[in-house]
Amino acid sequence: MSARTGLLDGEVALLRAVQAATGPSGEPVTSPLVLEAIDDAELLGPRHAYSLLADLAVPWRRHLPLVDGVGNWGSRSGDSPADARYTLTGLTAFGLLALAADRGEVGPVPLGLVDGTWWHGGLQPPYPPLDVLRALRTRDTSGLVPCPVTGGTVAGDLEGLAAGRPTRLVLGSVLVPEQAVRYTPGMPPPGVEGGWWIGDATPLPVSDPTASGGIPTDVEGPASVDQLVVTEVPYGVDVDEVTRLLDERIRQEHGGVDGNQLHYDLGAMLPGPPIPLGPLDRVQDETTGRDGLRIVCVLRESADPEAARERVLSTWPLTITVDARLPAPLTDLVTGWDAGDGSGLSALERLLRA
Amino acid sequence: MGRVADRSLLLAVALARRGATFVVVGSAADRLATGQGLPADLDILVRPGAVPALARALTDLTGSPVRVQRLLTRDCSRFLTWLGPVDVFIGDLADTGAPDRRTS
Repeated sequence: MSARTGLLDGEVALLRAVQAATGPSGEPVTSPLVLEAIDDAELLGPRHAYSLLADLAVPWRRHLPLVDGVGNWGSRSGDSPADARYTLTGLTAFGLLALAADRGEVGPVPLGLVDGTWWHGGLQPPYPPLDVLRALRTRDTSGLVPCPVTGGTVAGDLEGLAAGRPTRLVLGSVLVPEQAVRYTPGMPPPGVEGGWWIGDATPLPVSDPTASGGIPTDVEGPASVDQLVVTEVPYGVDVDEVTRLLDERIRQEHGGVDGNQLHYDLGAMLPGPPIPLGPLDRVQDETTGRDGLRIVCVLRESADPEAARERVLSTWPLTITVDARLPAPLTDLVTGWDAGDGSGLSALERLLRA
Repeated sequence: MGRVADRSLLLAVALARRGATFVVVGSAADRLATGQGLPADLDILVRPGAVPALARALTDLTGSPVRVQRLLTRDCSRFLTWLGPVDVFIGDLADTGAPDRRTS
């Protein structure tokens, strides 16, 4: 492991090979050139190297991506990157800083401590970059807790983890309750200036019993129910899988073999009285590149939002467990970290605050 | 925490209610026996003769067809359900030397 960056020696060698292809600036070049440089350096075969480059490039793997990937580098739904012929590879400012620190041009930078090893299946969790910088400057680890790149919640024996013990953590999703937009036929949606309607019908208030024109103005659309929106999922979870399994659960609870009798008292191991249909009506993935993750769980009419929240969070993989262990107690990692002249920390902080 | 800790056990119950016969092994078995631990998944051991019933149960629970042949030709198969992953091992309890705490 590189003492000056906390990166594995192989990762630093890979970054050097990328820079050999791109030149000192790290400006992206076509990916086959980079793969050739990696092959020439006898580090990895092209197929494995490309997959590793993708892990170093995508923003849902690391807080601080080291590789600048231009083009289609895959998605959080498990889509693979486009063929290397159609992508560009370069170095990010963090990648350039890592190489500068490795060459001794600036002081050490704590990249290994920030991103840990979860991103390639290891046990060391990631921490928020600015919190790590603060802890290294003050030599105080209080308030320093793991923070997956994809957000979500972290629970479990965090004290045990900080003490360096093997720990199983529980990663959960973030749910945001929302009032569904209430549409009234013939009326503009709330918050929209002006009006729009189809045909020559005159839009009237819903409460007006004399509404005419053949429009059922006293009927509200099915969207007029509350909903829970999943905005963050646990680290490494396939977003498509979340939607598919939530949908599967709802299907079973609405008519599967015995879905809604599953939640009986496990201790007694006997079926309890049947419970009503589950609180969820349907799930729809409204995720977009612009708005980010948005999986909408629509509640049944008059369903208890708290029960629905519990139902969503108890569904795998909206809550998962992961194993974690630090290479040493957190206080040792922080107090024993050699910041050199501090120029690496300052450079990293400038990049983070830019 | 409870919702996660007992999820694998609910999965075992769901499979058993659908007619599957198997032995719970691994960390979920520890949780059943001691009430301790946080299983990441459900590991089950199934005799070859009980595979068809398990395939039917998994088909219902996963919502996609599970083929008997797939289970029989691999030592271990993983399936994803809304109650978590289940790893299916084909064999007999006598091969493992484990204490006999069978569920069905």
